Amino acid sequence: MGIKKISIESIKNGSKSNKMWDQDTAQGALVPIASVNLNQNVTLNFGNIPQTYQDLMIIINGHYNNSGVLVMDDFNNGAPTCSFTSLIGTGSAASSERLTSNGGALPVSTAASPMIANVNSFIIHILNYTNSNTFKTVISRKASDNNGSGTTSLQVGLIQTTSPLSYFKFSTQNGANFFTSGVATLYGIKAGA
Amino acid sequence: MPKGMQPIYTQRLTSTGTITFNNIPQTYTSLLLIGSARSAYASGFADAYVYFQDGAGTSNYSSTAQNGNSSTVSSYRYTNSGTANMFGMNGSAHTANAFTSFKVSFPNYRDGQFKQMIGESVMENDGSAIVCQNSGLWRSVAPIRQINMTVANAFVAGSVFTLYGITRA
Repeated sequence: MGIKKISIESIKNGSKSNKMWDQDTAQGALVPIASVNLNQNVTLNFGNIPQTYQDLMIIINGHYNNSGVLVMDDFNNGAPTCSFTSLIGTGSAASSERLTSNGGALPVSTAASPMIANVNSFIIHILNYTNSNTFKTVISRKASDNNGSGTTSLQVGLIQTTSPLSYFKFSTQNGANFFTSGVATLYGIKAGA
Repeated sequence: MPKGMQPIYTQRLTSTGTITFNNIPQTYTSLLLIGSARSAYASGFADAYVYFQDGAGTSNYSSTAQNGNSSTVSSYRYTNSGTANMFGMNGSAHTANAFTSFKVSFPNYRDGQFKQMIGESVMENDGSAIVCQNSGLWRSVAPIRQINMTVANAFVAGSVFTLYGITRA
């Protein structure tokens, strides 16, 4: 790959045509779609999600003010049935947790594996989110180590909607619980050619 | 600045050794380390450790791990350690040429908060296997500028480690 097009204006003022391909405009398979700077956030909203990727990935790294939960909800502004199965490590024991037929919300951090009042990290994959025939599978990992307390968890969730996902949000479900700082970014993962 | 996920550097061991990534660019939002590696440890599975530019002589690290081996699951924790235990690894007693696949994420690695990491690894040996998922905490507000990785008896030749940078929108 090389430079496709460069104009005199590009040379004069340093601007780049959106038709030009170079090392600055090139993107890999993982493309950032939107970021939210965390500042007293009770909810994180992702709307108008492009329908042009194969999968979605969300990375959340935030300092939380309390011990509490985090859920995904308002899928396409609706409330499809959700369920999950998770593995949780507490440092002394490993356990599994399951929630079935939950109306409208998919927890990614639960009472058995809550966020800590410190920094928490999440990596969440939503697979095949534009498919209009299948329910949506969500794989999430959470890190909440606090030097003697906290948990680590790995979870698979199911959102029972066949509609392509164009909107969802994350919610602490409690106005007293919020992210004080950090960043959350939604990425699109491209399919192969 | 390229957007998305970009490879920063790859290290492939040609002899037994440990890994250090120096001078990590401070231009991304998150870092991701993906690799295939194996330990020279002769007494079973080995834990692999991460520490940063403050060295392994501190007590700034903690980690929580959970492992499953098809029949049992377990969890353990390290506190006030000099390293973070981030994933498990095959040793020399395991199936020849079977390397461990692993991934360690460092979200928001430049942020002025403590650094919370996520590690995952799989070790399949046609009869004995372990999957691991770990959380690690570095109690420092400094940006991550150097990543060091160690394992008991070091990584064997052929182990490969690639560090990626991921930008935000």
